[in-house]
Amino acid sequence: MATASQASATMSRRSFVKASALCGAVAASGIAATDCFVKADPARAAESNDVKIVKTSCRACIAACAVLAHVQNGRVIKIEGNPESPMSMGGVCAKGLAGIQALYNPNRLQYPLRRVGERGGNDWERISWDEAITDIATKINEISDKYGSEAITVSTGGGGNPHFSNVKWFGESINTPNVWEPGCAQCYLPRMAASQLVYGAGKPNNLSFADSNGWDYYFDDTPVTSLVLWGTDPSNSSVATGGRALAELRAREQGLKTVVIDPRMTLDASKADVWLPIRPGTDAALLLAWEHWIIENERYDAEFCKTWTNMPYLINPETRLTLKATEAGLEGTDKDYVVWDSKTNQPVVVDYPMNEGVDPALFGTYEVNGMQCSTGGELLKQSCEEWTVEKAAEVCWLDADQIVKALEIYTDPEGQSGIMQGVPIDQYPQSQQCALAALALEFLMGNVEKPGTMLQNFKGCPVKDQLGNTPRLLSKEKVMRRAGYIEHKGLMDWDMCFIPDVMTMMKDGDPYQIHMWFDRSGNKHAVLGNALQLDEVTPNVDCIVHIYMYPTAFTRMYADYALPCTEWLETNLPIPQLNTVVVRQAVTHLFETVEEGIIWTNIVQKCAELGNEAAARAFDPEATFGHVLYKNEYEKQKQHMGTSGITWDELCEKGVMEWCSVDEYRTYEVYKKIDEKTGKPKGFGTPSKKLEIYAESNTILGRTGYPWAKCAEEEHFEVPPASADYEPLCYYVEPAESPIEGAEGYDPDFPLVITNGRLPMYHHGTLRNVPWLREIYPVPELWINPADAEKYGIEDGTWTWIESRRAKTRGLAKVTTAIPEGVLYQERFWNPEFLNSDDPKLAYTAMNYNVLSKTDAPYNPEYGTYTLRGFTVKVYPCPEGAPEGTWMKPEDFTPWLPTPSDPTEEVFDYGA
Amino acid sequence: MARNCIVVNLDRCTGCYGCEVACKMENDIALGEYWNKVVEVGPIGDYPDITRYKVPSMCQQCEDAPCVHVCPTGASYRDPETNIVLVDREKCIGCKYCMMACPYGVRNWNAETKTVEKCTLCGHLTAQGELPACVKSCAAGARFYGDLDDPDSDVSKELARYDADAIHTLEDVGNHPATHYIWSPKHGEWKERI
Amino acid sequence: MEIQWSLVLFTVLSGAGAWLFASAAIDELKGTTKKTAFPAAILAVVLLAVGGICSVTHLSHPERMLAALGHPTAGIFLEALLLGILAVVAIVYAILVKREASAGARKVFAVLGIIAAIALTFACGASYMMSSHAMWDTVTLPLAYLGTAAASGTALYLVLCAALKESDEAISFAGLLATAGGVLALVLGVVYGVAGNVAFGDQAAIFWLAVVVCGGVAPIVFGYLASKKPASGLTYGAIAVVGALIGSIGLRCVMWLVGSALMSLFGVAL
Repeated sequence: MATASQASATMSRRSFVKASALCGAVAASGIAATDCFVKADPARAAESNDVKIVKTSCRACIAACAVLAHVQNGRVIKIEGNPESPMSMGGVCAKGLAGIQALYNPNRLQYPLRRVGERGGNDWERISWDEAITDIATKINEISDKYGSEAITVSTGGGGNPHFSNVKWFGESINTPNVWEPGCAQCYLPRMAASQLVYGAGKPNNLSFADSNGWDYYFDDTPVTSLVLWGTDPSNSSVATGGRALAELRAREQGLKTVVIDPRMTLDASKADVWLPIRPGTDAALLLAWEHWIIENERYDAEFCKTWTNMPYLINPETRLTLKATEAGLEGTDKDYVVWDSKTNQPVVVDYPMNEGVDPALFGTYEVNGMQCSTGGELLKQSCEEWTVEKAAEVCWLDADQIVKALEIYTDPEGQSGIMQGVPIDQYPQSQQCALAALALEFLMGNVEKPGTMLQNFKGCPVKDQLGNTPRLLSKEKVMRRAGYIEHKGLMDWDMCFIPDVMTMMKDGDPYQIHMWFDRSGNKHAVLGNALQLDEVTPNVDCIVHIYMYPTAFTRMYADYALPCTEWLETNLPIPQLNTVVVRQAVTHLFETVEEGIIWTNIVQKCAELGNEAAARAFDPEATFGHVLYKNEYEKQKQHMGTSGITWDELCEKGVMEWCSVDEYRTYEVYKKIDEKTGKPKGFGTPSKKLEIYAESNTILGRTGYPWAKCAEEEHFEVPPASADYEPLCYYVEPAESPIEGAEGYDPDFPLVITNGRLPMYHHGTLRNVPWLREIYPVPELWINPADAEKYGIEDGTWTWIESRRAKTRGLAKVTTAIPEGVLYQERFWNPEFLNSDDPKLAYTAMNYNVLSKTDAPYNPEYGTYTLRGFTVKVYPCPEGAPEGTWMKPEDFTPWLPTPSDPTEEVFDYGA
Repeated sequence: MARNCIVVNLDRCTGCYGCEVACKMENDIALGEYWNKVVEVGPIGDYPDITRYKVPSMCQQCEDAPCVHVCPTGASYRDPETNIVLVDREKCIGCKYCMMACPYGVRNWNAETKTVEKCTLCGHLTAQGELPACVKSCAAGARFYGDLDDPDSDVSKELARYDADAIHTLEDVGNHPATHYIWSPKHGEWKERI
Repeated sequence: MEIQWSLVLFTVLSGAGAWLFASAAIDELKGTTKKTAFPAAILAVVLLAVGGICSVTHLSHPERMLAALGHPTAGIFLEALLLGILAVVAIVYAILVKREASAGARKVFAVLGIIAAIALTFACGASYMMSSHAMWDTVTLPLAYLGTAAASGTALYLVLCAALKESDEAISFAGLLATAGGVLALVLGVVYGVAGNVAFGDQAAIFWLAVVVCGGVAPIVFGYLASKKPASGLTYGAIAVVGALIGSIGLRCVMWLVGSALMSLFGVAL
């Protein structure tokens, strides 16, 4: 801790006073607030002017592209791509290259701040890290003693150099089950968890390309011939990794056919063979039609389905689960499955993987032991019976011929295809249904673990970027207090809670009051649905701690403590990329910033030191089942490097290291490998070892919490059932706010359906304070089709009001046929330039999509997913334009130009 | 003589604006000023035959460069060694005739030095055997640098992979731009004037 | 594009000066005037100088202008060269007049002056002939520059003759010169208007009112009236010169306003 005072010694009184308002000096006068640090340290000035190149990797988004940071006299002066990465191959997008402007942004939080005066009054005092940690730990212990530790909630977010697993182990360490992030049920969890349930290949192994799946596609000898980009836009969301991989595949001699399903004509859509501009919120209808068409036209891989999926398994109509030998009155156990043998016309107990000589029926309903038992395949067929291509075309606002053209590409018997499923389906209540249906399509087609398929089970890297959490630190009683635990059991997979309930708990104390909130994320206002609810819920929370690199609207309006964490150029982390590990190492260290993991562990350590017994258990190997919490950077890196045999120092030096050869890495058809114990193929990671097209595991999850309900007392414990069964098969529900006349949720006042979607220069709510990026995209565009523009009197390039049933906000109209009639598009946005204005609320109300979105019911049963996309709005001209003070011209961003400063020493000891 | 230039493969380009930022960082370009700017084109056509793309634009290294002809002081000149069209800031009197004469509007007025400047093909880097910044960090591997007259150059090799109907230039009004763009007809129409 | 006023004033003033001198030079060849030759030459030099200064205000680094000597092919160099030649010719001519040199010597410089005036006013327009600007890239543009300059210069000469109370014959001849200048402005202006696609475009109103009516018709009519009624030459001449200058300015403004580069990819407004 001694170094903190060293850093402060370099501060002049003038700069100290300036710091009393969050980035006040910058916004008000355009004067850099950090001039105190800009003076060159005389000791360093004496050093050589030579440029040192440090290998590291970006965290402007989750892609982790390898970069070379050029450092001169301790300052980062240039960033460029490192060609050694097998994924980014030397490419870096605008976000990564602009990393210098993020690092040296004059608005960096430089040291811990404590609010003085009224909350929201923007009056702060600088405190030492020791004081901050002691203050906060004392509060945690007080609240835990007084109200119970579950009265503390912890949240994170995907943008701005976070480390997802940290908040989970921090929550568990201070004994609260109420940890959350606005992604999770609304981003990635549904696609990942669905795959775990029905494919069982472990994390991640799913259809999300942007989350670094689809590993085979990074090798240009992959035999893939076509890809379906279902609501994903690698060109925007994983530019230099996924976007690059697709560019390479398209550029091969044989090319790559693509189908893009996206209301927006992204640059992936413009290059597609078929673009299906689907109505937001209706993906399930189209997925059902694809299932229907494939079954009807017998395009599925029958042999694969019979042997490696549970399609032929008979289903017990009473339990709605697979029929077991005991229930069928056949010889066998209650673990044995039953199929109908078409040859002998009788039920047969399955001899895994499949009995020789038996031809299991994929479809049909058969009488077994007095019950009418359909096969899983039959139930699948029935579930999509009504979903003809024509019906889907009508519901999804698509052209039937184009749908068929897409299906012909996807099911081309001469080719190898795959589905990449993007985030949109995670952002409305049909999340699990869409995730299961997309997996079912891949299973039907046999697109599993073959060369060229999306789903792969390649060799796992021994180096871990996520250390994992310790859910079994929480007692059964404690975990049962988690918001939404019984109703939305899909959240158990990530050990996170149901956000709408947390909001209610903060606001109304129902069923108990939340008293303390830790948030480590960029602006919650930009990414949380129905963002204005924050104004209502925060007044009842006694203590709010915000940890981030810059003040956001959240800090400005609600925080009591603001703790500065590190930018990616100040952060250490190893990242597995295919058969290599890529390093992210601190290139510099500024002010008194601290990597968030080190902040969390120091808080836990202080809690324990002050007598919090639960916190002390986080360092106990027995209580943590061997996953003790690290105490410092050194221990952290040791845990990350795991059993790889690679040392952290070695990785830092090499930058990118192979941990196995490409051939060793690309392991195909792993399920066919013989399990030495049984002498039979290993199969998949589901209870049946089969791919569960009939997702009974989903139903079992809803009834019992298996396989994810766990606690200190038991590895698996049974949780009471949710209010309704989780369905094993996809179904379609018209969006709760529907643009269809006559639909239940139709309101003629709100005739248009709106969606958001990624841009290449921003990630979630981040980087709106970076001049190089804001000058490219200063304010959010509202995409509107020319027909709608004419109908509602909207002219291209004019400000427009967008109003939902909850609130209204603005967008700058872009009249374009890149969006279909009836649909609007606008990306999430907030305006840091208003933070220190007279009306700081403008920062998150002026042009923020998420004040419009919807977090009330209906929710997805499994995950509690609420509605961020596919709700309805109206638009009308906004002649008054953007609020005065909105920065739009490139020169407006001058006050945010970087103010480089010399490195400082780390605040906390390295540990070795 | 060499015809050094950038070739951009728009079949690959994802429109990420990385080249714009790389250029700004490498050449210290002010806010609102550009040596390289990504320009949106389209949508062109009607569904389902509809397309759009983005064109990273910069000095097109015209073989018959109007900017050089109109410059009264020789500030806009063709480098005798590399044959690259450049601007000598020290000679520029700021008459802006070259900005008028440039068919593409890809010259920058530096408000601080009050002179015209433009893409130099990162001559300071290529002189040391490196690639221009925008080429080096292109996220999609879509940018290439080299001499069109050298069949072994990156630009020649990339162009050789495509049929003539996929290879385009911006509209040529007699200036013969060296920069070529690749945009395959299967992805849609090329718009010569944007 | 935006109107570049320093360049507009440069070509309007230098053009008027050039043709003022050319008018005096034509008269020299004919030999009708007495008093006006010297002041006309001096005023022409002044206008050329002021015009030249206007053009320099357009530059951000005029101190580097000498570098132009090293690059003698550009349009701007030619303009400067012709402007310099014309000024020298006018000054020599003025000295010859003052010293009452031989008519032969004066006539030589008069002819040189006429050639230089034509060349300068054409060259000033020719600099804008660029393949990047379709609406400028026509030889009718420099001709229109020449025509409107001719109208301004000749009308100005009429005013000078009238103001200095030349003989009726001389004023009458100057009136005819102004009429001829007006005809050049009208014909060449309209030809550019049609060829350059500006006569019926967004700037049609300015074109017809300023360039055609004020810049062409007015000098023709009032120049002719002056030739018929030399006693009112000053009034008619004044109207003609105002009209011609409006026409000259109007033509150049129209040129800038319709100016549109083939592409403007950086979106920079000049």
